Parts: sequence; structure tokens; C-alpha cells
Amino acid sequence: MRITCPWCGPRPLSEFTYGGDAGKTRPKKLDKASPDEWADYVYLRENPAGRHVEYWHHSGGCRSWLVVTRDTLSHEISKTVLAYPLAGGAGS
Amino acid sequence: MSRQSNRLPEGGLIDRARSISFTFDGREFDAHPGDTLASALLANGVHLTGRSFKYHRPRGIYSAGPEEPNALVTLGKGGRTEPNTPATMVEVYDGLDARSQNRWPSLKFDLLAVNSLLKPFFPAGFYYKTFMWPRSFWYRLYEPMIRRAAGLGTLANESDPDRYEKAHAHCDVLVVGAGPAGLMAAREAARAGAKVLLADDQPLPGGHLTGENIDIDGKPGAAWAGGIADELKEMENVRVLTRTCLYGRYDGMTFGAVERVGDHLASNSTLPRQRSWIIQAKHLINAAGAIERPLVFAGNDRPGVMLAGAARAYVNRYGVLPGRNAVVFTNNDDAYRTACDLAAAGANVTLVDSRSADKSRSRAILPESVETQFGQCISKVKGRSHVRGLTLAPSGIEIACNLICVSGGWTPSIHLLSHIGHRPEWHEATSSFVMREPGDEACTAGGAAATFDLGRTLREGVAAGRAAAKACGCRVSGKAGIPKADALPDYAIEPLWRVPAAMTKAQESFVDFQNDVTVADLELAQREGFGHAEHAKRYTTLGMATDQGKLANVNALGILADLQGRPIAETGTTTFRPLTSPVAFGAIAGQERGSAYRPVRHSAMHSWHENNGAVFTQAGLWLRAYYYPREGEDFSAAVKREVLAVRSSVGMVDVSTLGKIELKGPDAGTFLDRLYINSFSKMKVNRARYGVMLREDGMVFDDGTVSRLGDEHYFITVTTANASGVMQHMEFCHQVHWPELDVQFCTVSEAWSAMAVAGPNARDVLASAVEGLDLSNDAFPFMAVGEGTIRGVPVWVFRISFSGELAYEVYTPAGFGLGVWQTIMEAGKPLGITAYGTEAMTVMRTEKGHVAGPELDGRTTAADLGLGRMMSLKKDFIGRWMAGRSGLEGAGRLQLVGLKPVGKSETFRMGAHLVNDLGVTGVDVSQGHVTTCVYSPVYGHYIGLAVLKNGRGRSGETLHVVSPLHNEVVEVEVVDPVFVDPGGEKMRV
Amino acid sequence: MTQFQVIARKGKSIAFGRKLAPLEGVEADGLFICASGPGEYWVFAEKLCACDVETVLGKELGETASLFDQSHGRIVLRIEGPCAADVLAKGTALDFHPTAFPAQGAAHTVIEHIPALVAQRTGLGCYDISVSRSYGLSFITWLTEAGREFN
Repeated sequence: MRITCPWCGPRPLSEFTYGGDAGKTRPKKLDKASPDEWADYVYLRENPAGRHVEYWHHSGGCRSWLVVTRDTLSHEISKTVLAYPLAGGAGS
Repeated sequence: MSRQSNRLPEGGLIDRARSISFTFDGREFDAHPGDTLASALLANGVHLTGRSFKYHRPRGIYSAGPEEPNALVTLGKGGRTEPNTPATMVEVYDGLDARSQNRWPSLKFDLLAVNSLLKPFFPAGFYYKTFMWPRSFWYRLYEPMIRRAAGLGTLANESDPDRYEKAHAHCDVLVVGAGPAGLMAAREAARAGAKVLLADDQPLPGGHLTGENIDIDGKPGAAWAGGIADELKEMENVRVLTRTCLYGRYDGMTFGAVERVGDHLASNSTLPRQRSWIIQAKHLINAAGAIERPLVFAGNDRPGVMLAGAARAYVNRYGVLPGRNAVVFTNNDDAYRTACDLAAAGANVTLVDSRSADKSRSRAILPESVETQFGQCISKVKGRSHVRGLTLAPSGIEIACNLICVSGGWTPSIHLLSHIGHRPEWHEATSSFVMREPGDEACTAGGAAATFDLGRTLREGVAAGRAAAKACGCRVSGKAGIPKADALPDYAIEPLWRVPAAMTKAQESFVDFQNDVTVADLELAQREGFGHAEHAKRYTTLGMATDQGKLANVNALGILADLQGRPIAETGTTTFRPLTSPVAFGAIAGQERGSAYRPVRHSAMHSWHENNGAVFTQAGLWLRAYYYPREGEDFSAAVKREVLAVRSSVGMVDVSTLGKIELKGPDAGTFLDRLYINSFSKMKVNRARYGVMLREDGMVFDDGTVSRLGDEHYFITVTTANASGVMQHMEFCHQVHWPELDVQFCTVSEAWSAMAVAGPNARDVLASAVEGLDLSNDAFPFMAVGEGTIRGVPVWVFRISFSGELAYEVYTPAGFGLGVWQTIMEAGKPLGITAYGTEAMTVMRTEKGHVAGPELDGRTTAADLGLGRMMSLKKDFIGRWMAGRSGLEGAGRLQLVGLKPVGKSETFRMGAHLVNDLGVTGVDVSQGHVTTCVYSPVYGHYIGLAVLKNGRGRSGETLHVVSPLHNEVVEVEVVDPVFVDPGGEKMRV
Repeated sequence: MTQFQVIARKGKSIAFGRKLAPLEGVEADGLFICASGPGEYWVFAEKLCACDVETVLGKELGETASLFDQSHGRIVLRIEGPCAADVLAKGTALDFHPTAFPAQGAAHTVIEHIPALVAQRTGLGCYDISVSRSYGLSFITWLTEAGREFN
């Protein structure tokens, strides 16, 4: 499998580290979130057969965290973006 | 030395001017460069090359390519032993040493061939059904016996002295197979400007052309192919890999291949033996050709029976006539050319065609000398270790012969298209499975697409090359020149999956030679309800040998379809998976073996440790000084001396391996507050603090120190083992959770060398070495941070203690690390400064009750470790909410305690459990477990740390440390985890 | 060799990029600057010491970026010649074809399990490889072995 890092271009799987389901957002405020919301965020992960949005870290490259849309059946990757909302991008 | 009695006087692509010699089973033979082991053996009249897997039947050379099921030999000796190598793929070099396999005591006289007499009793599933009782006999008697009798070559026990390596290649268009289709495709794609990689498993280009007597553009096929290949090699956008087997296709158009770089060389000092390639392509052109199928009749496995195309290749490519009295048995027109070529080479040939005479379209090409028999099949074969004759059915005619060439049709090589999960479809006209790739990443041309006409093959190659170049964004222009080829007879196959049951014995009709699977086994599978293709495969082991059923699968599916009375299209196929052909482990490991398995990291002071006799230990990829034995000292004596030196005077340890991260930016403090359980944004500049990070589930993740070097400048250390994990975690927190924070950070682990100077005399030593920094207790108290110089070199000094002694950590740019270390050692000499290793460090941190890896095992909370009070409840941080769960705070948690043995001389074991009462057993008797146990030189006995249920309230209790695995029971007393200086006065003096 | 990792401040990556982009890929005042990640540049300086580079860059970049001195943490090896890319291909999946890796380009990758920054500072076929110093011995050992067939 290969992932096309938006910064580095296509690289082999060995340069990346899996970061799990990207469908979860950490509750913003400590006490505003219910125990269920915390439990959901920390423990519950989607494991679909098909399209899945997940985090990957380009640990062997530019060290960006990526949000990758991948089909778990075909391993086809339909979209890859940087997780960090970098305005404009440096050097661009 | 044997004469090459079967070598033709002329012809072939061999170098007749030179002779080389090789040995087979100790006997010396002659060959020519260009020969394979198989062709050289045949030239010397040797057909018998091995014994079969299950029945030890004599077997001979069956093919001329990688699909060879029988002629598997062992090459080399000692560590270079290479079993199960197809003799058809071994290029002979001077001094080659090959041995037959699976025979005892000799190939001609094999005692275990008695299996063969038992054959009627050895059907599929036999072992499992018969050797069931008594069960214990299976392991003790039956299995070892069966294993001895069955099996192929034997592995060497020594390590392989040869070199292997891995390499990556990138291309637009990957062309697999350098036959006519592949060569055309590669040339067209390359001419359009695409980056082309052409891979072929043979040493010569041309594919089947090398074994044929066919002209293209007025040149012999092999010469034509050589010309195209030379043209390709001249192009800068083409890479041609010969002797390279594409073994697998993986997601994202990644391919695995193995190149036999030095296998064919008699001596080789610079090249690797094999190189495994990871190839990245945009487009695949599968031009891997087709493999001929056997015909299935009793005795079809006898030495002297071989594929018709292979016999042709031996004549045309190697100038070898495999037999003078030949019978060609076929169900299609392709094998007619074998009859022609054999006859032209001087053989007496009879052609047996299972079809009726009117189906044949090539009678006209047969020379008059070839006798023909239509509508006939071979029903019986005479001869054990070599074919002597055969009987036809239904006519009953007997023919004396010493070579039987068979052709059951051709099977397109579609493995690479099916590796990623696509299914093949049945193509009625050619009686073969073909594969059309959905999408536009791959296409097929020539024999691999069941195109068996040379002219069409060339055209398909051209079209595929142009389409692939276009798909890769190249501009394709001009008209392609298509070479002119001799017209070949039509293929006109009429399926014959097996010679009909009424004519021949099913038990001796082999479908899978390598795994000894017969028609009778398939019939049994069908009778017992395992008729589905995937079931039959597992039930009979058909197709599960190293050749992956390249010869067997289609015949087997046809036989099953007939048994089930339905068309083959409905029986389906089994799944092809990588690896297509066996690959040596060495090639997969590449350079990564022995000391090069993974890189090793050395600190800047490594040479000093080495010169001072350090014994090293691995910490992740790092090599760290473990202890420094002096003459006559063993491990314990050295560690004891090192600990006592620190506790009584001063010592120094290299801590450069700690992970170090530098943070800048106005929000650096806020960021750290959210990462650690304690707070740093309010910490004063030039101060350090111990910090603990949790995982989001509330368990301790890592610990270390956080120092503030400026208003917007922090420096943190993390544990050696966790360095990369913490960095990754911090990047996640910044990039995903809190992108709004203006903080910049990066790893500077390697920019700094670090050493801890510890002991009551540490200040005196450092004061004499460091300039520009007042180290007095008032000016530089516990947890102070300051900058100074040592002999003009910049250093940061942190007053931090892991040992519990008065201690400092000195950081200097890594290029100065060794110099600073030596200077401090020099300065400490009058006070007897002692270098200590990681073991002494572990002993002292245990004496001090400091937690480390064994305690931070992912199951302990800060509260469990006695660090709960550090947790700031005024803020959110990673793990804050989950750490506050009642279950983690309640009774019954395993809490950190110290242990000492009641009997002073006793030791106990890390990982051993703590129990109250030795008489009680059960899953819940464990009160906790020992995490660390070391010998304390200060106390003169072993001490330990443990996590114990409700441990903090249990000081003074006596428990048992038990390790049933080792049959050990030790009585211990629960004590406070801080053995040395619980008040912490020593580090604050 | 003096090396700096330069990371854009929050919200300043455009301003930062505008300042450094013109310098990218050119050897000027002994500095070689390459984009090495989103909002990140890597600076090589063969002749200037770390303090000088810090002064020069500090003046140029002002509040737009944070500077991290990596000079002591990294060693740089140069490998050059027609087979240089073939040697490196034994350890990394990076595509060295000029269309994928242009002259004056740079890329973070992993070479034989060793994190590395590869830069083509002086043109095609000449690679400067920056690796953490602790890996130095392993990296050179691997490189020597990988290059053996081209000796």
C-alpha cells in the first residue's frame, strides 16, 4: 500500500504509522462533555468494511499527521489531507 | 567424465566453443555455457533427477522453465545449501555441484519407494484418517515417520554466507515477460517516452522464441528478440532486468521481484547472490506468456515424459535431443511443431492426437516420417526409471519409445493480475482462464491473454505498450511497425482433462506431480463432499506445492467439473497469492541480517566507554554502557563498586540517549500544561521540574524533566525507549487537538550529549570544571538550570537527580560530548570519579524508589505510583478525565511498594507474583507482582519494587513472592518504595 | 556542517514562505535552504557557524519562525556519481528520477531504517544526506556495503 502525502508525494507504507479512526474529536471542554462522550472518544472506534477516515502519521517523512480516506476492502485511498490546518502552506 | 550423448551436432543458443563441467550426485558431467542443469543432464542422457514427495516415484525433467514440478535439486554445500531448486532454472557454471533429493540411500535405489507399493492405501486424507489412534502416537511415531518419508530437500543448519540485498525501482510501465509481446510493448511504451522496466526470469530475451524454430522479420526468433532487447538497453528510459522473477503484486501497484544476480557465476566477490526488488509502477503489462499443461494418464509421471514445448526448447535452444524414439501426445495443434522439430533433429516420431483427424489443422506441416494416430490416447506407460514404451487406447497399439512429449493445451500466466483479488473468467475457445483487469492500471498481451498466434501476439504487444504509455500521460504518435512473423498452425484445442477412466488407471494418473495428487484423489474428494475447487485443493493438497499448481490447477478444475457434470466455468478457481515462485529467505531479508539487522545508535562518548572496558547493553536501537568491569570483576562486583562510588564520592553516567525535545513560541508553556499532569507555564525561567504524561485513558505514558530556558523556550527530556512515541504523540496533540497554539518544537535528542554527575562530591568536581556558573547551593539550588562553559565549550547544567544523590546533568552540543566527558573525568580524578553504567543507574533509582519502564507498563496510573498529588486539577490535560474515573481511584488498585526479603540472603524475580497465603490457589490470589529487583550494595541484600493491591497501607506486612514456573517461593516484607534518603536531603545539600 | 530546522510560527507560514521561497534551492552567502515539510525549512551552511546563521536568519525571518540548531545532531554525507541513485535505492523507496526528485530538491525519508533528509544541493546526481549522528556508523557501514558492486 502507498499513501500520497500531500507534502512529500507518494511514499510506501513503511514510512507511515497508523493513528486510528479520525472520526473522533477530543471534547473541547473538560467538564462540558458527558462521561459517555469521553468514553466514546477514548474507547469506541469504527471498523467499517469499506470507506474509513483515519489518521496516519508520516513518521518516516515530513512528520505530518494526515487524514486519509481509505477503503478497508480494496485499500484504495480516495483522499489524503494534512490534519494541521496550515493556511496557504509554507513556500507555496 | 560422461560424453554428451544426446547433444545434437549443431544448433542451440549455447557456446559450443567452451566446455564446462559440473557434478550431479557426485558424478562429473560436461556442459556448455548457456545450458541449464536440466539441459546439461538431458544432453548427458540423464532423465531421472529425483523422487516424488509422497510415493517416492522416480521422476525426471518435465519442463524447461520455472514451472518444473519434478526436477528439484539441492545446490551447494554447508551454509550455501539451496534445496528445491528447479534444475530447469539453474544455469550451469564450471564447478556447479547439484544433488538429487528425497531419496535414501541413493537415487536409483530408494528404500522408501516402498511407499509406492502401498500406494492404493495412500489416498488423500489418508494420514488424518488412519493415524488417528491412539492420539499420542501421532506426535511420537506417525508424524515423524511420515515426515521422514515425505518431503523434499533439506535445509542447511549453518547460516548462509552469501550476500543478498534489496533495492527499489520506479517506473511508469512495468512489462513482465520479454517474449514477443513483452518486447513489443516495452519498445512502444519506451518510444513514447514512458519510463519502462522490463523484467524476465530467463537469462536470454525472447520468452518462448528462444525455444522455437520460428523466424521474425527474416531472423531466427531468438536473434530477433536479442536485437530488440539490445535496442531497449540503449534507451535511457528503459531498465531491463533479466533473471528476474516477478513474484507478487501488492496494493498500490507495488510489485515484488527477485533477481538472480550472481547465481550463475562460478565466482563472485562484489555482486550479491540475489537481489529482491520492490518495484513501483503506474501501469502493468502482463506479458508473462503461458505454461503448457500436462495430459493426465497412468504413468504420465515417468522419467522420459515431458511437456511438448519443453522438448522443442531442448532441441532448439540447447541443441539437445531428449530421446530418439519419441511419441508426441496432444489435444491441440501446437504440439505438431514438437513432432516436426524432433523429426528434424533425427528422432523417430509418432504423433498421437486425442482429437479425430478432421479436427487437426496442421497435418500438412508434419514431415512424412512422422506416423500419426488420431482419436487415440496413451493408456499405459512401460518402464519405471525411464519410459520404455506405451500402449494406446482404444486401439491397444503398443509403441516402443524413450520419450513421451505431452501437450494438454496452454495455461495463460495470470497470477500477477489475480494477486490483488480479481477473479479470472473461462475462455471457451482456448479452454483457458483469462483475466481482464477492471480499471486501467494493467493489461495483458500475448500468451498471458490466451493469444497463441505469433502475429497477433506482436500486435497485442504493440497495442498494450502504446495504451500503457498513453495511460501514463505520454504522447503516442506515428504508426507502429509490426514485425512480420511466420504463420503458425491454428491452436484448435479440444479439452482432454484426463484420459477417460475406462482407458487408464486413475490411481496412477498424476494431476499434481509435486504433491503426488492423482485423479483418484480428486474423485475421492468429490465423493466425500470436498468437490468445490477451494475444498478439493485443501483436501488433496493439489496446487499447494512450491509450483503452486502451475501445471495442475486447470486440469484439476476440468476433472472436478466433469465429475460434477457441469461446465468448468461454474466450478470456479482457487485464488492465486504471492509468491508466484519460491523466494529464498535470504533475498527477503536482504542486507538486514546479523549485526546489520537494524541500525545501531552510538552516543558521542561511545569510544570512551569502549576504551574503558564497558560491557554494552541494547536500549532500543542504542548501545549503552551497561557496566565497566575492572580486571577480575564480574557483573555484580563491578555494579557494586560503581554504586558505592556514587553513594560515597562521585560517579558519572552517559545519559545522551534520553529523548530531548526543544519547544519555542508563546504558547509553549500552555502546550506543556496540556500534555503533562503538572503545570509549567508558571514555572520560572532557569528552573526544571519532573513531569508525568498520561495517555488519554488515564494511564501513565512517560516521565521526564521539563526545563524552562527562556520565556518562550522550553526543553524536555523523555525516556530513551519512548522518545519517538512521545514525539509522535506531541505532534498529534499539536496538529490535531490544538492547532491554535503558537508552539514550534522538534527533536534535538542528537544535538546534545548528556551526562549525569552524581554523588556527595559532584559539586566539587563540577565546580572545578565549569566556568561562568556559580554552583553553590544558594545560587544553584535543587532543580536549578544554568548555562556555563567547560574549557570554552558551552554547557547547560541541570540540577536533577535520578540516583537520589547530589547530582547534576550536564548537556553540551554533541560534537563536544566526548571532550566534556573527558574533562569532567579528569577533574574528578582526585575524588575518584567513577564511570557507571545503566545497571548501577537502575540499582540506584530502585534504592531511591524512582519509577522507570517496568513500573510504567501501561496499566499504572499516577496515583498508583504515588504521583497522584502532582496532578493539577485546575486544568485539562491528556488523560485528565479518564484518570478521574472512580474505578482508577478506588480500593483494590495495585500501588507501588518496596520489598525486601525476610531472609537477607534471598533474591526474587521480576514478574513473580505476590500472594498472602501459600495454601490457596486460584486466579485471584495474586496480590500484585514484582516490577524490579536489584541487589542493593548500600543495604547488602536484594531489594525490589512491586505493585501491590492497596499497597500503600500495607507496609510491614509479610508476603510471599512466588514463581511457580521456577518453583520459587521467597518471603518478603512490604516497605516504603523509597529505600534511600526518603526525606530527599541528600540531593538538596 | 551547520544545520538549522526552521519552523513557521502560527499563522505566519505564508509570510515566512514568502521570505524563504526566493532563497530556496540556491546557494547564496554559503546558505542552502530547502523546504523540508509543511511550514518547515532546512538550512545548510557550509562555512558559517551556528551563531552567524542564527543572526542572519533571525534578522531575515523576525517573528515569522522559530529556529532550532541541529548542527551537532546531524552528520552530512555526500554521495555523487552516475550510480549514486542506484546505491541509495537499495535503502530507500524514494524515486530519484529527475521528474520526481528535481535538482535542488529535498526530501525526508527513511534509508535502511535510518531517518534521513536527502538534498540535491549542487545538482542532479549529487546527494547530501543528513542523518542523526548516532546512526553515523551504521549508515556508513550500510552505504559501503550497498556501494560495493560499483567499486
